[in-house]
Amino acid sequence: MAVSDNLERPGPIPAAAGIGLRGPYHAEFISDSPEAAWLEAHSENFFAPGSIALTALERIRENYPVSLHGVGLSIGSADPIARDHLENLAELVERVQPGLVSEHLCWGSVGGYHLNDLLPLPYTEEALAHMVERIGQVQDRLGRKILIENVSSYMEFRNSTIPEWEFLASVAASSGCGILLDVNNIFVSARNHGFDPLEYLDAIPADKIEEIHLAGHSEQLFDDHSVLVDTHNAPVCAEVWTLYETLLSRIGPRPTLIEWDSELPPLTVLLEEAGKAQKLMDRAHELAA
Amino acid sequence: MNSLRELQARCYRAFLQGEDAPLREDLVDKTIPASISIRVYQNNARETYRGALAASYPVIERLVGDACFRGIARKYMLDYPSSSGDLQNFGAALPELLAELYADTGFAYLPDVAALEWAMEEVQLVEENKPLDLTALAEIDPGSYPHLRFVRSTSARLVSSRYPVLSIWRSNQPDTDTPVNLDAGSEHVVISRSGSDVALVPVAAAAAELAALIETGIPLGLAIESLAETTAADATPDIARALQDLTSARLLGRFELSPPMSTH
Repeated sequence: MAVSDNLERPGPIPAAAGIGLRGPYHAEFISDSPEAAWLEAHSENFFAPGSIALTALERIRENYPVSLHGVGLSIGSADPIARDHLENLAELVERVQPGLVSEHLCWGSVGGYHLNDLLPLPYTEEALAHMVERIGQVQDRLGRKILIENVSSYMEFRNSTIPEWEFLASVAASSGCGILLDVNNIFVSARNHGFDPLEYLDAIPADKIEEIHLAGHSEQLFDDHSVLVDTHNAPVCAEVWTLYETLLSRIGPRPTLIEWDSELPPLTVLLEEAGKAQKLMDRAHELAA
Repeated sequence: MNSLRELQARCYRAFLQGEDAPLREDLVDKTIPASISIRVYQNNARETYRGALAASYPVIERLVGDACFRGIARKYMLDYPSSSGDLQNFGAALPELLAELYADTGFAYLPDVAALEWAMEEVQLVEENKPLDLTALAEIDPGSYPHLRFVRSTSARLVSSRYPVLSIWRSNQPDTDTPVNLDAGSEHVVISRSGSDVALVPVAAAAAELAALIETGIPLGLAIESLAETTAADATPDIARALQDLTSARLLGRFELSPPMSTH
């Protein structure tokens, strides 16, 4: 019997603002139980059975809805799915019983070697069929629907024939997965590649969007070229808040996560960012009423 | 599928190994020139691996400094390329690389400090072992002691060094800047998981030597004989004290009798 079968735990992820659960915050969540609607953990950090991190997550899970967000499954790789990675994920999902499970619209390995990055695919019919088939493998093994998140990108392939937003919508339609829409990633990619982020937002079917990510990015100079890089080390910028508000006005409130992964601030800063997202969701609720 | 695989292989070679030219042909030269796109991902790869190593080896990073650590991380990502989407075990071979780089230099202590830091990583990733069952041990017939075979706790490691490895580690914690005499001699340390923390306990040379013998799987009697052979004639090894040290440092996880016998 799985540990999860014995426990009364908070239920599904609410349509409210949550924050990313990172290691330095574990102790605070265990000892002080700060108010947060839900938490999202990076799956790979909890793969080791009995580890200090997993023990902490299980304690935190007793008090908070939790989603699991993978960064290393490399679904879009031409390599076969790494069975050990998928088995580790399945075991973790069984143990934690998360409200949502998500992965990325990306690849990261070739020939068994990993780049440990979220690399964009060429948006072709071949890649589309591949992603749909691979998401099916993952959903079959986990016995549940997963969400797929759009990534930030700094390159475009010449052989792409489908706009990214149409590709993402088609992946979801054909595989039955949901969409985790990262508004910051749309903003970053739109600025880097010169497309209209509103066109992207409008192209994603509302009923497929089951979670939203918000994060900070940074501007980096390479020679004289300015590139926005998805660094998750800063507050959400004003333009991304505006896009988020626009999205909410179309689709209504959705579980929304504040992601912050490096140069971590005190937990209160993340909770304040989540508070801003919550206010915008509350306003969307009122307008919809 | 072949075209996707080939494209991904060109990306890998460009981002990790610096073979830019073939990939440039695949990329759109629009808002971001292809050469810049490749540099962004090359930079991301270097930062990802540097960050993963820095998270596991903060003391090594402090000892060698930022620029040198970046150089080490860059060599490491090429010599020990990642083979998993899970980076938790990525840094396992850094002590080996540091040994290769610094064996005959004034920094020959670095591999041992790295081994200490990696042991700290390892014990965090495993379930905490129960301490050795001393009550069960007390019930063993003393005549059977030579046949006792101790097994190391799965949540503990021993690092033995001819350098003052624990003193180096302690003096390089945040907000600490105590000088260390590198000629102070050897130190031996047991690293073990203790709840949600990691404990570092120094042990004497005799205890470390006994632990190394126990690790080979030989019974206690043979370990004692072997220890006596390597000890000076006028200095009888204090086995009871060594076992006590290893037990209180939580290095020993359990025991078996060889040949198998009942403990009652």
